[in-house]
Amino acid sequence: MNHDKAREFFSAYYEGTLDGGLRQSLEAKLKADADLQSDYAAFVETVEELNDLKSEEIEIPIFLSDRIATRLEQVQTDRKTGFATWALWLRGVTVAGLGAAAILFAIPFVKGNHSASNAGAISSGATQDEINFKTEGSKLMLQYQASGTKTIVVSSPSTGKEIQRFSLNGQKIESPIENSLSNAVLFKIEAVGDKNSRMIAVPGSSLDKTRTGSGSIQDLAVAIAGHYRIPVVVDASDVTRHVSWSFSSPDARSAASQALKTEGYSVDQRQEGMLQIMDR
Amino acid sequence: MSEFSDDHMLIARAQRGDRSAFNALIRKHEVRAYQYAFRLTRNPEEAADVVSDAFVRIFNALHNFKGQSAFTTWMYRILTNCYLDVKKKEKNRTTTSLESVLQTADGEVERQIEDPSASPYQDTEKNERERSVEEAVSLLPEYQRAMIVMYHAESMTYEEIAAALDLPVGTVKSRLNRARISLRELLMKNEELFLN
Repeated sequence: MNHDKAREFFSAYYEGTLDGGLRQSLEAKLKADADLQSDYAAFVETVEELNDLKSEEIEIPIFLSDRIATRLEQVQTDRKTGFATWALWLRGVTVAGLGAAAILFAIPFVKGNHSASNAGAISSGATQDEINFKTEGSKLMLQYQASGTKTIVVSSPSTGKEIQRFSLNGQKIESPIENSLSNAVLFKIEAVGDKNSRMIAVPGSSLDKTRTGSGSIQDLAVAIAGHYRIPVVVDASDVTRHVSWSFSSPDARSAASQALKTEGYSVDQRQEGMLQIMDR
Repeated sequence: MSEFSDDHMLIARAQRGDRSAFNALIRKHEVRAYQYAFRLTRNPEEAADVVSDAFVRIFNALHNFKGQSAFTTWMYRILTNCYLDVKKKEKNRTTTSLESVLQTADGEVERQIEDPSASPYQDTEKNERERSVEEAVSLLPEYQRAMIVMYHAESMTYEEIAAALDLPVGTVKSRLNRARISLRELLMKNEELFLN
């Protein structure tokens, strides 16, 4: 057995799986060859260091799920299946780390071109090409009926980061919107090229006990969503105006009205379980 | 329920067109898939691309999955193939000169080349030795790197690696042995560099 041949058996010898005859030959060679001995010692050291690879902590990037969903959605779009369902879900923009879940546009169903049932939904009137939100029990739904080829983009207004994009061709989307983050999060949903965008603050899994604060109208919407655990649609033209709030009212509508009483906004709660802040 | 049967149940549902089952399958395995891809690429962007491509391939080939092996074995095979494809594309790409400039309306702007290595802070934080092992692994040929990561980081058995890479078990063992020896040589070269 020469030096190179002996090295071929290092792993099996280290793992104790080398056949009896070969093991004896290798052991004899190791005893007689100091270089081989030192080679083997170095080999063992390397294997033991390699075993530490599994303890390396790898942070999962927040964009991972978005990217997977986007790629899958692209594939679905490319196939141009008129009656397809989308395998996409969205994650938010404020989390990092292992297993961190975020926003879930769970299993959006794309339906054929037929008129949408709009009863009880917050919309600006027309059915087609309007971004609507509605609640079904405790479930919040996004609705959109495309009149033709449309691209819907979901993004984070705070970071400007695009979270999801999907294309419609005369189809209707009805998608539950869930936020599995602990904190409330604001989303902007827009139909590209339509000047048609809406923002909605979606409560997280935890109650935000903070009662006072100040910031933009967007921040107020997030604060209300977190404290009163109610989705807040923001349809105001100027969402950057600075306001202060102190939540002493038992209900979200009164709290929002109180915070906005001197500003040019009105608060509406046409639909049970959803609040809307809009221009007066 | 075992992971094996749990996965197979989700796959059976996904094969019948249940997208929520496919979503559940992805959610269940995306972290593991990413960790493997990151250990191969050492680059978050590239790893996310590898994982995304892999799940698209899984989605497209879902009807071909017969359930004779574990889903994870199939997933590792596809991830490895996606990684090898990325590397192949990289090799075919032209290189960008560090000195190159971009012509803009405002004149010439020096091209900013992103440094993919860890920040000085990360460097000091990380155990030097672990770092040199990770670096040495990243210098191995792609196939050897995949095997090393599967065995030592993902704790896969020789049989599982053989199934994932569609190779005989004996071939996996001999190639892994060679990979470990190559790695030892790379580490020794690194040590010499530090000593000189």
